[in-house]
Amino acid sequence: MFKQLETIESFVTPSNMKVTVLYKPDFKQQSMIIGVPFGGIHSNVLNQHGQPYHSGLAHFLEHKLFESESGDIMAAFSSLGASVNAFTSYQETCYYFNTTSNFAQSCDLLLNLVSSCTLSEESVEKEKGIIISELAMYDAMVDQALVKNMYQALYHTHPIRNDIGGDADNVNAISKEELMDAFERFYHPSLMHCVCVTNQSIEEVKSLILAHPLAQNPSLPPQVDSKMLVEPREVALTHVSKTMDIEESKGIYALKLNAHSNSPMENMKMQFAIRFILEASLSEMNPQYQEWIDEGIINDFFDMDVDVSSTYSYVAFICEHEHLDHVFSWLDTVLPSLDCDEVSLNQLKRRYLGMSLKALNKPSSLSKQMIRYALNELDFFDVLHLFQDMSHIDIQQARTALLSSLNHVSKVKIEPIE
Amino acid sequence: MFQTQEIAQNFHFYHKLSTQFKDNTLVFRFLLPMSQESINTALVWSQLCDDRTTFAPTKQQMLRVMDELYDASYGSYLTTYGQSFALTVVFKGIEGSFVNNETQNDAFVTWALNVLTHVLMTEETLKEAKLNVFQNMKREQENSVKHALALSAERFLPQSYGLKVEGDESVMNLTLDELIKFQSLLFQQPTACFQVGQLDQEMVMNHLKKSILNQDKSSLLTYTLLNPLPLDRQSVFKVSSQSVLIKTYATNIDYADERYLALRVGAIALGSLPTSLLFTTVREKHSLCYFITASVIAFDGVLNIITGIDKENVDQVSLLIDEQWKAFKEVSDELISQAKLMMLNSLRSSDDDVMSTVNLMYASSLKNEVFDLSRVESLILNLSKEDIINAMNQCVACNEFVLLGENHV
Repeated sequence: MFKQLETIESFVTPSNMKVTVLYKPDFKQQSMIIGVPFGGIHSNVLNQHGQPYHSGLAHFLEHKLFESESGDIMAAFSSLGASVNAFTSYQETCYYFNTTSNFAQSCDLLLNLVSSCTLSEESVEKEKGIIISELAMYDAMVDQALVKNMYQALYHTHPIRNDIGGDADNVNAISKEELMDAFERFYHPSLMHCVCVTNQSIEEVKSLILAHPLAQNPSLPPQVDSKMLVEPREVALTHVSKTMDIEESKGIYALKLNAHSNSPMENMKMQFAIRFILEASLSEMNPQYQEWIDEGIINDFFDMDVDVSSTYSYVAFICEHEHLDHVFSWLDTVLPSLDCDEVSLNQLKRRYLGMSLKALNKPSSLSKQMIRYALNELDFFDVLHLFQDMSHIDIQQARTALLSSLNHVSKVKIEPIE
Repeated sequence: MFQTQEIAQNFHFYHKLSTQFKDNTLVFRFLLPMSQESINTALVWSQLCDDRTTFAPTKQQMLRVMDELYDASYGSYLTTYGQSFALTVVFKGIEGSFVNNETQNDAFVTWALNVLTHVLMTEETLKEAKLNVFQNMKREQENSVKHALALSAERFLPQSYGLKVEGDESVMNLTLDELIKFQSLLFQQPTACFQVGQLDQEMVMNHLKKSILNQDKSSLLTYTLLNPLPLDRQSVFKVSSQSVLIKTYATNIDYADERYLALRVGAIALGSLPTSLLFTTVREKHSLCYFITASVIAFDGVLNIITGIDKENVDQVSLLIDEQWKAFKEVSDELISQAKLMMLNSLRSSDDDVMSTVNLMYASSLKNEVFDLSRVESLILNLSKEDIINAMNQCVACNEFVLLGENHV
């Protein structure tokens, strides 16, 4: 259904780069995004000396790729009227631009940007101050602190324990050599995905991508060896307590799930099914929700998050309360009865149909969603159908996974400084 | 392009037929006189709108109605317009043709107007909404940059309330009678209704005409230029890994001034581009920050420079900012050209975002104009470097605020 609403074409370049072009003739803004499967989670990859990468390496490399021998790349984009940016997540690094003019030249520039890396010792050292300032900005945010502490409480060895940007010690230890090592291993066209949202014809866009050197000359990607992950089923810490200069205590009650598999599609289905159960049981859909609000157990800050990835899975309940133990006790009580009946399932399917249609409204955010799915070997439009086909059996499987994790809990508190 | 109709005095309906989006958007914008009481009450009232109506008196029923309409959504926010502030309420619903439902569009408009005009106002709902506003306000204070902005604006109160549009603790004293009175007054304020999508214009008009909104409205003044105060510096301590520096300038140029576009382009060249003077100097050359921006608050005549830095570097960064103002006299043609392109890019892409289109249309309507993109494009392209330097020369530094981040010992 969703694909029929859009004109879209996917192809693979001779260099094995995967490309998707979405034709949006009504939109003035055009965008291109290129994703590389190298993110914060890849700090277990071994460098040429057999040592694991420093945490924050992918993010550091993202910063440095904007330097070029041929001049300032930012200035080149600005001269074309295009705004360029990048982000590093746990799973990937993505580079993108948005523009209403000079689309072809901007595409060329972005393809150039990920094609080569030229670094000097001096520029690497200079960047460290900027990155440490960025990390300080995130450290000052209570929501970031909650998530960071949650990962460290849930996991013993999994690299998700480390911040995407690393910490000051790791950033200071990163060298030009290590950055080049990572670039050589991960910035290979056969590992890259590219998504374009354009008002030009798909054929035109295809031609200009295929004409770029990055799209030509097939070659084998370098070998990537990783330190083996041995993550126990139990949580690393059951309780964490920190203080910050905040007005009200905030906490996370996190369940370490064992719901992930090697199949990205199965993981996505599990994630949706768990999300449905949580919505049906702990949101306004449940008539008891009003009682919980009136009794002051939860407030409108209360939120839930689910992540089912190929190497980890968890559920997090985010809350705010003067006495967080009250909320944690309440969760202990309500979680065993989580469920989603047929009526709720149908209501949620209708909601998610609307949400999916709305996702097609914003080409710039759509391209970001598409690239993240593509890098995880998923088709964005196939994923949109997952919840429509969700059955009661899927819900029950997800419920079983949830209930079997009720003894694997980490409770994180961040309280005001007294 | 929007088509405009006046439904009642100072109640305008702007309609834009578009097949660009998968949903339909209805926006209501009420312009209110600025006061802290009014801001508090508007925040509570918009919380209640999102909560329940007399037609759907529980949260569960409200959500069920919205899901019946395929994730129909409600959103609201406050923005400043000089001596006034706007309460904007946004409704979105999937276009009926995408879900093969002929009654979807009519049901969506009915729902939106019910939410707006049949808010469930009881002691219980009021208590919950007040607490939500109060707690939201506290959370805003936890964000260093937002907290610093709110504190830095206090120096200009009450002359320019526009810098600060947050609730305060007195919201907890709001009574049900005051809230009911506010709603009655709200529907008498200058109102604009925008519709973007494929809704039938006549159908929406009929709904509006039958609603309580269909009454003559008052008119309001909107512009305030910040009166430059003698330059002052304040510091406030916060336990935080980062300090925030905010430098405030009176622009002496308001939104209706012919030099306004030159000022906007100048601010972009000063600090809204990765090639801007501030970014290239403070971040790229000296590695002193991750972010630094310059932005114009249009209807208040204010330009703010904001950056997150280490507390040891506050004086150095402040000095570097001052130096970039001086260096602006020698700004390069290339940077000016990039700033113009960025502004053009932003204006051209506004068509892709409903709220950007609405904001441009609304801002023009406040100076009794209709937004004309090609005219504005031409004005920007014709700006000379001298026009831009002259506009930036009107700016007068009047405050420097530092939220001094200290590590907890």
